Amino acid sequence: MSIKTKTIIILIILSLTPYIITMGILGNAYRTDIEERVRYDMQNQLDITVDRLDQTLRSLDNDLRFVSSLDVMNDIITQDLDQRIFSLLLLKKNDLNLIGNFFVLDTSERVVASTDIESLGEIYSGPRFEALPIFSTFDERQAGTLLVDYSEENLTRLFPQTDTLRYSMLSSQAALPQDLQRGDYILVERPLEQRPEWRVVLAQDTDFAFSALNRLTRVFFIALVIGVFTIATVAYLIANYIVNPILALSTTARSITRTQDYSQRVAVNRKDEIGQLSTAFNHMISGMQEMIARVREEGENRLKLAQEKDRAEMLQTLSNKLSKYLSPQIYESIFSGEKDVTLSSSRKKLTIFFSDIVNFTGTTDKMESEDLTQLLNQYLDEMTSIALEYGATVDKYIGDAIMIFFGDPHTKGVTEDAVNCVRMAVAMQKRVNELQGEWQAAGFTKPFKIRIGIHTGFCTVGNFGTENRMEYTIIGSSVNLASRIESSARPDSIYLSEDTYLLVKNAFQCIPVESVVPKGLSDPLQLYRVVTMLDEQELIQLDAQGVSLMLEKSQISPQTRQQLQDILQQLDSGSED
Amino acid sequence: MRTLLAAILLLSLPAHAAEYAVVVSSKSTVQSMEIAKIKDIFLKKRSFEGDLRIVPVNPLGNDPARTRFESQVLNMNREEINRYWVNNHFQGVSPPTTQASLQSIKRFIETVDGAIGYLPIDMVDTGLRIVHEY
Repeated sequence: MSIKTKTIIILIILSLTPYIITMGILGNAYRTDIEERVRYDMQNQLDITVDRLDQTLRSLDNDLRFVSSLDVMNDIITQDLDQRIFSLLLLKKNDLNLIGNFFVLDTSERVVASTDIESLGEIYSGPRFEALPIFSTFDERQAGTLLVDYSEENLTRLFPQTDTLRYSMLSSQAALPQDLQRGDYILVERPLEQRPEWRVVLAQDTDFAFSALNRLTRVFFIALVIGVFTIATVAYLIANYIVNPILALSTTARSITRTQDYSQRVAVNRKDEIGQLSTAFNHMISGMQEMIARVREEGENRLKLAQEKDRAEMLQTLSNKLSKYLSPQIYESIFSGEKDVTLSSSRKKLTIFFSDIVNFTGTTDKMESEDLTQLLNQYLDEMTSIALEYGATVDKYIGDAIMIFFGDPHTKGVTEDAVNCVRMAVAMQKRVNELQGEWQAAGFTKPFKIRIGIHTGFCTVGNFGTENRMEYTIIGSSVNLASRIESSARPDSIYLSEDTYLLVKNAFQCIPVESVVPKGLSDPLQLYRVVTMLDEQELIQLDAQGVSLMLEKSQISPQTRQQLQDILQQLDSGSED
Repeated sequence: MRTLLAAILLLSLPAHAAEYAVVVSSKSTVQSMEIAKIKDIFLKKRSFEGDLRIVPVNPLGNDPARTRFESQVLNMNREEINRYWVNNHFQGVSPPTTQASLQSIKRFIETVDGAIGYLPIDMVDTGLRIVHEY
């Protein structure tokens, strides 16, 4: 049974129970009370009627006694020759309006006088309602009998004539008439005092007795029917009011279960507990929807992650392999997403580094290729490590030459980039000198010397080539210039262009070297050499008033030495003068 | 005219003496009776004759036999008689029984033992016995 049906039934029962109980109690009590009152009234009326009948009978008895005592009754002896008894009886009959007859019998029961003339002279054999002896007044002997044939009708005609009350005269032994036995009557009865063998029954139709109550009951019943209808309607509405939101919840829940569509919601248009339940349900569904979305997303993410992990592992492997061919900065920039792998380029001011091994071919032509490869690899590996240490971008290896630049993809500023580049170059020179010992110990007797050229200028940097084959590199005249500077440099030296020199002159000691005219340029270019720690042992510097001198002993030719000696001699003679 | 006729009748009565007779049943043992005894019987001063209960009977009302009886036998007028019975009524003595007609008196006397009454003589037959005439 549904909650709606239960609610309707419960509401109807709850509403009607007090009504029915009240109606039942009142109806029953009222009915009992009415019956008692009716019975009481009937008993009173019956008492009045029976008293009247008794009075009538007493009166009859008195009349008979009086008549029987009259002197005229002596006429029985003369057979009522003068009809005085007859006259008396007739007078009395008329007086009483008697239904029936008086009879006066002599001692032989023969009718001497009677209001029933036909019976005169007959031996009386009729009913004797009452018979009194007649005594002669002169000798007090019984002269005869006075009797009356008294019809019941004499009494029943005294019953009050009403439409609602029904009187019956019955013998005490007689059963009630059939219609009165049906139980549709309220009955009271009382025997006659004068005639105990008779009783009077008074009946009243219950329909009449309870007519007021029945009318009231009908009104109550109609009210009950209307009440039931009204209560049922109200109960239905209340049940709907209570249950419909629950049904909506249930329907939505089933629909969600069936369709797995967690976007469905229950309409909330009330603020009571059911409204709160609906709101809570909606919140729960929202939570579930979010959770499911999250789980789904998480699943997808995990799947993606797994796929990406595989891919990443593969890429990692690939990139590890590729990294060998790329500058770590480029590699990191590309793999961290800082740079798109597209054909694009930008113009930047970079510091470009070139180095190569002086007379590499001549130095290595006698070496076994395996040894050469090992030597070259070690050299490049060491140089690359230093380059990375200083944040350089290793552009490419060209045989024994290395092309490096600073300023892309990461830059610390043009000046700092240039300084870092020179520091790197110095570190490389130092490391190559250290490696010389190792190589000689390994049997490479001919030492490697490297030369380095550095220039700072604008370049175009980016991916060049085709969509299928790209190369991250720099191009421009500055690159060529840097290469030319490197070609111009002497072994174990670092040459800077003037542009670079101006940027690093506060950080490094440099000395100007010969000017060169690079290919494609008409003007000579002033170059500077970085003074390294190795140089400092052979370097003589004097900065005093009137003197600015820097001598590099190893670089001084015999002619220059002679010129210097001449200058000194001139200075000595001049001071002597 | 009537008064005159009545006076004539009254005056003529003595000329017809003994028109009425006091009678008893012929079966009675009483043969004759003195007037004084008759008076006592009808005034209920005497009820028995020997063992026999005597039952006097009067005609009703103003029957001439009764009027004559009262004036000649009882020697009392009606007023005296009424006063007598009123007095005796309170002592439990009632006047004699009555009959409405002379015929019924005759039948009463013939029927009731000890009955005594008075009738015109010409009504007396074998069933009755005259004990006194007046």
